[in-house]
Amino acid sequence: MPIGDGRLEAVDLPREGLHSALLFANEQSPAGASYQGVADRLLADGWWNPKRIFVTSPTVGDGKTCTAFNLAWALTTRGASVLLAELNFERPRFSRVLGGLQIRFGIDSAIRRLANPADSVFSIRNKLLSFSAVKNAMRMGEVKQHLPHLASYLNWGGNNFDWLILDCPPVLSFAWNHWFRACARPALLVVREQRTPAVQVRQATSRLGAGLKGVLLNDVVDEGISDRTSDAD
Amino acid sequence: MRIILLFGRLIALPLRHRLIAAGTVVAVIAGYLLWASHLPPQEYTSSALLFFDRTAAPKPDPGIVHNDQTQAMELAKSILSDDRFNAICQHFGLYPDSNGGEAARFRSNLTLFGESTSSLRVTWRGTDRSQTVAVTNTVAVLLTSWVPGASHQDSELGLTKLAPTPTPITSTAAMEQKRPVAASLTKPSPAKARLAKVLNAEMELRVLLAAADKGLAALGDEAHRLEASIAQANAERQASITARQPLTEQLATEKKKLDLLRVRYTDAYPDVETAQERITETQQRLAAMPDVRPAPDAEHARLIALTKEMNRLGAEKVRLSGELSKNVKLETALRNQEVDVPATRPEQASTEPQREQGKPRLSDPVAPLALAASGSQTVDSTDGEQVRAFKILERAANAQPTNNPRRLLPLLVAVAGPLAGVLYLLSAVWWFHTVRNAKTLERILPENVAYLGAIPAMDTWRHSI
Repeated sequence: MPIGDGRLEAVDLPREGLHSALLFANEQSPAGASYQGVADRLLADGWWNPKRIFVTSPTVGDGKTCTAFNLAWALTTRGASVLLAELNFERPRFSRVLGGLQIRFGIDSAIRRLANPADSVFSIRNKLLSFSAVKNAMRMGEVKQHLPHLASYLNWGGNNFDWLILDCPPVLSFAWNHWFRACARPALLVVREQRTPAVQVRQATSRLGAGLKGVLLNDVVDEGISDRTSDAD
Repeated sequence: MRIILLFGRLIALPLRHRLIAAGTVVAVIAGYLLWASHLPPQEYTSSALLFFDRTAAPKPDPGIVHNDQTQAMELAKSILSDDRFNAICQHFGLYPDSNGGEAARFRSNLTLFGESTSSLRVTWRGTDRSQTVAVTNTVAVLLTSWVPGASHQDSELGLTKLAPTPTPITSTAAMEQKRPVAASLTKPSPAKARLAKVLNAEMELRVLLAAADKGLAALGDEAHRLEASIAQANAERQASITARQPLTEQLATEKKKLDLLRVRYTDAYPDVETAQERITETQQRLAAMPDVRPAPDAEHARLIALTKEMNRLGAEKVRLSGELSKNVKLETALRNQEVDVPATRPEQASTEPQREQGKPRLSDPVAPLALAASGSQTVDSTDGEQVRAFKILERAANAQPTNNPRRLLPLLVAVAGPLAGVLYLLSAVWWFHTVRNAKTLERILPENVAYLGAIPAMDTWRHSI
């Protein structure tokens, strides 16, 4: 029987507690502009039905979490309510990048049916942007056991938010299990320039298959090439 | 340029992959060490070359067919009995786990090979390098100490003194002490080759000398016989002459008296007739006596020829003896030169006088074999009055490792370990050939996947999220 009152929790998190990289989309910076452009392209295409974006990458360290945060910020600037949920149950990072935020219930509590989905959601100043972080890391066996309950959680999110941005584990990791292969679509693949191996990008695109809708190149040093590509669209 | 690029990528590899490469090298080497620890022990072989004197060896049994090379081997096998092997094993502490089978195991590790009609190679295989050398030299000394007709003189070989002190030579100091000698004797030196030549020449000289002696003896016998014969003939002739001399003188006197009578008287005169009758009677008496033997001129000539031949052989013998003496001196000098090699080392120089004063040579009648074997570098075969069937031409100075994979594996591992690490790094470089820009990314992507754009790099998030 789930515990909790089922109300959204608003956390008054000081701005200094957030990692600075998560807030680019809210700033007047080249990175912020780029995220806004990506958000425009996402909204222009009609891929997203339901309006979920499974953000993933070939390996760890490519910038999934940062991309997911900034995309969510960018979408909220257009007046859409966004739920940013952490699906990397084995290596959760939301709590750390949010400045060691202590939460009462996490998304893991919700899929374990220990709490209502609404109890795992909190917001930080921006009421359009809600978060659902993993409170306690789960072992692989536990994840496999409880992941089937994630579908109902996502349905609940789809009913209560305009967009669901889902920060997923890497495609080429063991955490990308059968559930992700079957349900994680449409997906956005984040590739980090000068770091992500090309062969792994090929493997990731192959593994994602038709579920992969878009690719984002992260941490680009040569802005000329990036601008050329961006301007081409 | 590509090399620089490759090097740059190697440097840029994540630390975990560099650690994996290092771990691969360590794993290969550790695997080798683990495997090597389960290998059978490394074995070494050491060999000594002996000179075999067939003339000094006992005659083989008529019923057994020997060729020239097997004669030395058969003799060596007959010399090396189980008792002697047991004594060697007990002395060196060999095969402690063999309950009574030491001799058989020792024999299985011993190889006797007749390289030629006059040489025998003794090879022994053991697990300790220095001990192998010592054991081989001990066997060689056993063979050289054997004297024809005294094959059961174990006390002479000092075997009874072997047992109480099982002190195999395993110390590093001993090995260090032997190493220079080993290095100098690994290859046959010119001195050794010269020694072999001198020994061969010495043997030939001995044979020639023996032949000269034999010829002289035969000639002397014949000369003695001739002299006796000549003396006897002369005595008989002298006796005959002495016996006929009065009648001869009487006949001469009577003939002289007859001549005087015939001057004054005719032959019819009675005194002349009487004188003629006396002469006739004397001549008859002389004729009745045995004839005088002629002088033995042929025997004299033969005796003279024999004397000349004996003189020639005597001169030849003197010459051969002189050469033999020179060869013996040369052999002694060569052996001393060979033995003096370790004596040049300072630590051994101090022990050398002790050896000369107190430590007998192995060839000495009561030489303790243990000492001789342990210090086998300074042991010489006997060269005394007794004739020995074997002489040491080349001592065992070094033990060579047998063909064991342990010899090649360190080299293989030294190559394979780093090679595995480099291969891993190269494969990692290929594997981590990264997406360099949006252009390369677009080439990779399938057509139905949209490129949404690029996010510029910001130092604030690099390696943080």
